[in-house]
Amino acid sequence: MISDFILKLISNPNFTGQPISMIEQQISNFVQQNKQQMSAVIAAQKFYPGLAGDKATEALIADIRTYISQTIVDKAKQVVPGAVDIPTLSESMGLGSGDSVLAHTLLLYEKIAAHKEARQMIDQYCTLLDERYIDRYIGACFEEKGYLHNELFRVQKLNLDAPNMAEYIKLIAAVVPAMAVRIPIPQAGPQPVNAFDVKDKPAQQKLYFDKITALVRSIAPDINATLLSATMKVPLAATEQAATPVGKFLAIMFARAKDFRKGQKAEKGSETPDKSWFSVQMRNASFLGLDKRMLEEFNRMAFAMKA
Amino acid sequence: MESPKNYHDANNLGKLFENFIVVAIIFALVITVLDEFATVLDFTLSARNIIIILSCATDVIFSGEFVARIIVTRKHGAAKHYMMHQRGWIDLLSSFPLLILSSGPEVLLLFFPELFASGAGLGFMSSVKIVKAVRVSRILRLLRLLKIMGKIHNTDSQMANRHVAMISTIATMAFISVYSFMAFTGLLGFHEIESQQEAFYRQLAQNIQTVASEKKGTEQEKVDRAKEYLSSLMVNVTSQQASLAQVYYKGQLLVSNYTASYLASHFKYDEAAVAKQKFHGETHIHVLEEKDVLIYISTWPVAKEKARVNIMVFFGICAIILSFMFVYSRHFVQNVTDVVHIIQKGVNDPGFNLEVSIRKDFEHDEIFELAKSYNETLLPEKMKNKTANAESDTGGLSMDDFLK
Repeated sequence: MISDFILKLISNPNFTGQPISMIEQQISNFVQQNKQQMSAVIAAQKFYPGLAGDKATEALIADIRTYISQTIVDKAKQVVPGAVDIPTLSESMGLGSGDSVLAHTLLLYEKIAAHKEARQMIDQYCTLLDERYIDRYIGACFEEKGYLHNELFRVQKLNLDAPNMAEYIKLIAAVVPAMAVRIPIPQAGPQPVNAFDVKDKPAQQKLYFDKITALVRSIAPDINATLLSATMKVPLAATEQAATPVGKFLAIMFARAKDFRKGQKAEKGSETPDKSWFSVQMRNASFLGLDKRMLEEFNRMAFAMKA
Repeated sequence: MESPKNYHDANNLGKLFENFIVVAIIFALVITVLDEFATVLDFTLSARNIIIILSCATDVIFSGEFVARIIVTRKHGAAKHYMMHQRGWIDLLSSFPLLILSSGPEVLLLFFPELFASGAGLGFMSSVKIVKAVRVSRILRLLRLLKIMGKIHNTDSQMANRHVAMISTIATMAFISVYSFMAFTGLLGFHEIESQQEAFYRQLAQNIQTVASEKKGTEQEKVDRAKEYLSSLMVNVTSQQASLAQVYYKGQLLVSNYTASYLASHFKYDEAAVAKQKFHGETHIHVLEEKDVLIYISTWPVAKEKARVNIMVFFGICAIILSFMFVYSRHFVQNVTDVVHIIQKGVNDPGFNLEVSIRKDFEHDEIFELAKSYNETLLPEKMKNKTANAESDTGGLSMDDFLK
């Protein structure tokens, strides 16, 4: 059975603790890089009778994709509704009302999970909720009242208490995977692009935003333009004029979730996983387009939380 | 030729043997301390005899173990490796010398006292006394426990175990060398005390002889005069204070500082024997003869002081070894091996991205300077490459994972 074969591959000890979307990527990479040998293996296992060579490997990759997409969407359905407390958010935030936003978000996930990068970001969002990353770091930033707190209050003028701030950010984060969907923008070139590809091209950003808004609202009408507009700031490089504190915060959070390893703990003589990650990425901030000062603060908070 | 390291790959029998040796080491250490306490706390003769036999038994076991190890390691061409790097020399020092120079003669004396009745025997006995300092080398067995204790405390780190074992050995050997030097050269002062004691009692014997024979009279009158003289000297002297055990004049007892029951339970004492044979085979009694006067001097007071010093040496070495084992090894592991382990893992494992925790108070140590380079250069570069090469990263998969 092909599903047993895929399950066995995913359970490989090399992948212990890794996000499932990363596992998919690594298996696909391996299959692509070893097409010839793989087609022989697939032929021997008789998974795809009548298919040979590239066609067989493509069928395997497609099956892995389908399996992992479904796994991620199922996980999102399980994690998202309980983790985001929409009713506590003020209507005045203009983000829509009630649980229908979340219900529509899950509807959106079902459609966009077919896109590799979107699928990865849904997985990362589930990790953020599962591990309570946003709650913990917003809580810590309200205690520290440093740079991040100042940015959220003074710069973005978000007048929310810590729990509501966390819920607000979680809701914006829920829609971020839509920004990874690739759509054709002729002005950006022949290949379809996503918001991350055009993060430093304001004109193309506008075109992408209009198209993705139309696409998202056709699938999930309760996700309004205000929410989508806030979401659009996440892919922007921290140095961009239009970048917002919430956008910069979420960019760091998603990047962290991408490298998150479930069950990873500090070893004797090492720093904790979060502290290590923030500290290392402080040095890669410009390469990754992340806010260095914010990373420094995350580093301090992770140290204080022993996370 | 097999690798020198392979000879100690233990099978079940080997493991059983190793466990037996560990138990024997602990047992031998307890016996060593008990031996000294037996002197300090006036254990009875039978209790001390049991300790002597058990000490000898442990020395036989360790001598046998050393021979067995030498035979096995020689078979694998690793005898030199065992002697030099596996601390075989400690096994040697804490086995045969003890058996030949200390516990062996003591057991012989216990079962065959007649062997020591001749002049040659007495000479040998005095040499036994001299080499009593050798007994301290039993403590070296503590070092052998390092291997086991090291595993319990830390770590799989061979470097940490070897390093801690090395400095513990150096410190212990330095301590024992100083002690042995002082013991053999008489710097501990016991020899001087014994000489002064001997001179004092020889003078006493001469005085008794003079007092008894200065006036004419019957044998009994002479004995009475000697007894009277001695009694006047012994006023306010308790038996515990006196190292004078018994004094005889012309075979008649003048004074005894011990009761008959104490003599029977603590000494090899034959009540029925003639004066000269009363303490035959007793190592804690020194005989001094001056014409008609026979003085038995108890060496217990000095022996107790020596035992106290030995106990201090034993616990001093225990403290050194335990400090290295539990305090220094922790320091070493935290500041060297853990750091190396994290850097090594970061270099070898593509998925490992934890930083080394750098202690602020030691941040300028070479090892932490290296860790800083790992944290600030190697790790960021590795993470950057991982991000840049995400499209080619296969997460360590191999064809075998698809074939299994």
